[in-house]
Amino acid sequence: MRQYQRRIYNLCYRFTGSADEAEDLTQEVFIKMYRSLSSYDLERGAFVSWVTTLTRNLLVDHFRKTRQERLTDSLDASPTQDEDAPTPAQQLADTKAGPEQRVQSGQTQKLVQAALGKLSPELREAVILRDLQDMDYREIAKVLKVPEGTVKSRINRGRTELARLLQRTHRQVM
Amino acid sequence: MPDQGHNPNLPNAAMTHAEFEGLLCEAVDGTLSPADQERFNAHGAGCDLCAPALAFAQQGHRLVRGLPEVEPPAYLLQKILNVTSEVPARAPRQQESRRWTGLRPFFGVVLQPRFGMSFAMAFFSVMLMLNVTGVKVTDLRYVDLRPAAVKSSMVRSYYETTGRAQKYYENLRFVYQVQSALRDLRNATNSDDTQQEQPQPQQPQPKPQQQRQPGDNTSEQPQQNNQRYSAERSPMQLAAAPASNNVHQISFCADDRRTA
Repeated sequence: MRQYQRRIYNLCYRFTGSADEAEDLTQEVFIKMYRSLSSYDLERGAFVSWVTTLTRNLLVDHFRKTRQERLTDSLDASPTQDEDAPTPAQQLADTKAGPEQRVQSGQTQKLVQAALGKLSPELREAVILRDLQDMDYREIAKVLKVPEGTVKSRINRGRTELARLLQRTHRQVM
Repeated sequence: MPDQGHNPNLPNAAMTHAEFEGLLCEAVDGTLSPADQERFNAHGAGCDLCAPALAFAQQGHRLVRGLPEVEPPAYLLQKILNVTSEVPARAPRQQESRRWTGLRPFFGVVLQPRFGMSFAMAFFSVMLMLNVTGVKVTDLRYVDLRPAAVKSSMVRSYYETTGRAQKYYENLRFVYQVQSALRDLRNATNSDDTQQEQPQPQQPQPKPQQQRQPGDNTSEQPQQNNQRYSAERSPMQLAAAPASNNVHQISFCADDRRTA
């Protein structure tokens, strides 16, 4: 349970970008899993795929419900109200460190997370399942109920759009 | 660059742009076969259109891969355990309700609170009507539910109710009549008592201004005034009064009483 809790929480957190929402959604996933455990069929797929499908469905429902309430903060906006504080673009413009080192920093992770949140849900879930959950194309296709070719296309488009989004907003980064 | 997507500058690469784009995801993930990977790299290195796409895809992949795994809060596991431990109490009810899933579209509408209250009021009204008309549900038989039986029962109930109401109002009228007769009787008794208990004056003062002549009496009760006249007047006054048979008789009676 601890293993799945970690996995589900990460999936929810990367999809929503909010720790509170990820907590609530993880809890909901476990409740839903507990209630519909009898409907799980071993022959239809691995348990991980079943759990991921449950989580994904819940995330999509949550996305639809909170569409109106979602913040549309620009990446240029400073996370703090302090006007003298450097903007994320200025922080990313620091060329002293390499890209890998910048990724390691907390601020860069926040920016990538924000850019991830700006992707469409279809591209976002495909990228998360592939690059963060390490699922193979077939499993992702089963979870998303789309062909493998569509999965590859979505992953590719998601990665490219993420990189372009960050570059367009902060030209010095890339 | 030709329209077909082939790069004439790369003799070993028979790869189109569309093919390159299709293999891009697997190439970034490193899941391509060595032969395909070689062709892919060759095309990507020599094509100005596909090279930026590869760079963006690799950049995006690296950035997302760089995101660390998030540690869930320590209390979350206990919270989930607490919540899921309460679920079994509701789970059997949910399974039981699945039997009624087919009827849910119909009963879902009917079981709304407003409809529930309406049904409750209708049931209450029907039960009240049955109670008033004296019908007991437990006494009902199949035979009683025939149209003819229902009709005769309704007719009988109607006449019984009408008769009961008529009798009530007639009884009410009789009570009013008795009460009015008693009131008349009481009034008559009271007037007789007041006439008998009225005291006679010891020394009556003559009041010529107030003496009434027989012709002045225009009231509707001349008999009572005449009686009072005889009772209030002294024998002297009666002697001065105009002669009439009644007066003479009364004066004689007074003289007899005095001599006795």
